Amino acid sequence: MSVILKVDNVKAHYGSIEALKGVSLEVQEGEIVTVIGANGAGKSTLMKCIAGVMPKSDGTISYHGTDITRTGSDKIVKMGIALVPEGRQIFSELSVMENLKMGAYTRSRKEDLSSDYDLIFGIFPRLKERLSQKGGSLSGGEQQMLAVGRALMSRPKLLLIDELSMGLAPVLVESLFEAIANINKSGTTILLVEQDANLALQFSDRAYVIETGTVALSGSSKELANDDKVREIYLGG
Amino acid sequence: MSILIQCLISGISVGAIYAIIALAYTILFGTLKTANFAMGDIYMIGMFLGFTFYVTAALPFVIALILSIIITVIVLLLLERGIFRPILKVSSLYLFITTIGMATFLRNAAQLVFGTEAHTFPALFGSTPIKITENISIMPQNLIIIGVAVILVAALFIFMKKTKTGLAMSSVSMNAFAASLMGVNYSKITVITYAIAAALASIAGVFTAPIYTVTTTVGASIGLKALIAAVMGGFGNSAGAILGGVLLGLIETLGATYISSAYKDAFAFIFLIIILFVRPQGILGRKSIFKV
Repeated sequence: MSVILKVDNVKAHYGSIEALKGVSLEVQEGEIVTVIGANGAGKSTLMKCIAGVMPKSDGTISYHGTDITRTGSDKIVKMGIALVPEGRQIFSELSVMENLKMGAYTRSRKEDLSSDYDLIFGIFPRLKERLSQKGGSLSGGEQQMLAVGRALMSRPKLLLIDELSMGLAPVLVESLFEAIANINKSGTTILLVEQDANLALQFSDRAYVIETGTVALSGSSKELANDDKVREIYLGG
Repeated sequence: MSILIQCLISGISVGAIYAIIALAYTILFGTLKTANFAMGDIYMIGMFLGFTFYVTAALPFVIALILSIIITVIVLLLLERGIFRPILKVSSLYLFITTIGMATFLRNAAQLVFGTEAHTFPALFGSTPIKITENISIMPQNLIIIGVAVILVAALFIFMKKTKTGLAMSSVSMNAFAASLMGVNYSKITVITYAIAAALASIAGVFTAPIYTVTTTVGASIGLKALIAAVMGGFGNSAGAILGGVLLGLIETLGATYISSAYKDAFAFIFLIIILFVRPQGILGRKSIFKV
């Protein structure tokens, strides 16, 4: 297995507030890696840094060995990294179909997208029923499906997911995680940030624990799920 | 009765002019969330360029029109890159104020280049009114302007709905952050949006030159009216800009005919105030559907 993503000592600021104080992590091709941590630990900032929508003040990020620290998000998407952002960020006035079309923005106009649509409707049949509905009129769970589907339209090799479970019913979250596991099985590497540490550890190979802008712990998800400190702080004892 | 119909016809043709410029304002605000108060003077520049190429240089009309569009687009893009963009990085409030200053600057720069005297632009298709009935008629130039407005609106709607770039512009207008995650290059969209706005303003400028006197101050009042139209319709909403433009044209003409022509300009503002009281978001403006 080769390293698909390497984050090395990355720092980032919001004004004078340092959100990331030197984060390092690695993702191997084919893995599901999760980053857990409390609210405000810097998880979302890390994802934005990787996706190229947040400037880094220090450190490097490389993808398949290529330095992408200063690369713009448009090129990063083209290279094969897509982010499902926190809070879904659906285009509320565009239809489900148009939202998916936007996901394929970086792909050539001539490419046939029908196999991609089929793939996404295979994973999320609900989206097919809602094709002409406006994104903003979907339920929270459907919006999350659309956000994942939209990100898949760029055919990412590395899918970044920020807070898949946020604001959704537990049953729905479980099935979304299963969908992510299936996407991973078909060859997409996944890095996900999650507040629901229980689920995240259950569905991932390896995990990093972020605390106030630095990596506090890392290891295999099984190990961390049994770690006393992790159990106490993130898994509720 | 014939007076009323005549009024409606004139109102719609004046409204069509407001609508085109209102669209220029609204496409900038809707897509980039930045209001640019210099659009009235960009319209004036388009008009003067049209005058220079068509009357002074005696070029064929189509060539004069195309040259005016190209140069107006270049002027606005240079201003965007050289002035608006660096200032926007500081604050969007500074940009608002800068564009107000820019309007004055452009007006004075135009006086320096084109002189202060007023010019007349010959009517393109004669000045014999087309008689619809015995008492109702329309000037050929007005008919052309209505036609041009309809074509521009249709073209813009097709562009926004059917092309990849248009869809990207819509997504930027709804959620610029999500659009950048899709790989949309924001500065490319900025350039395209400004280019469309400049093209709309200059087309309006060239086609309305025969109706108004060609002076460097023409943009100030027309630009303000168009801004009112855009706000009335729902700032950032294209359909609202068109509706606002036509309504404003009708109100002015009806008010001038039936109440008092001296207060023609006041009607626009009174109507704006009433609308903003009743519907602060404008006639077609709406709060976007948002679920968390």
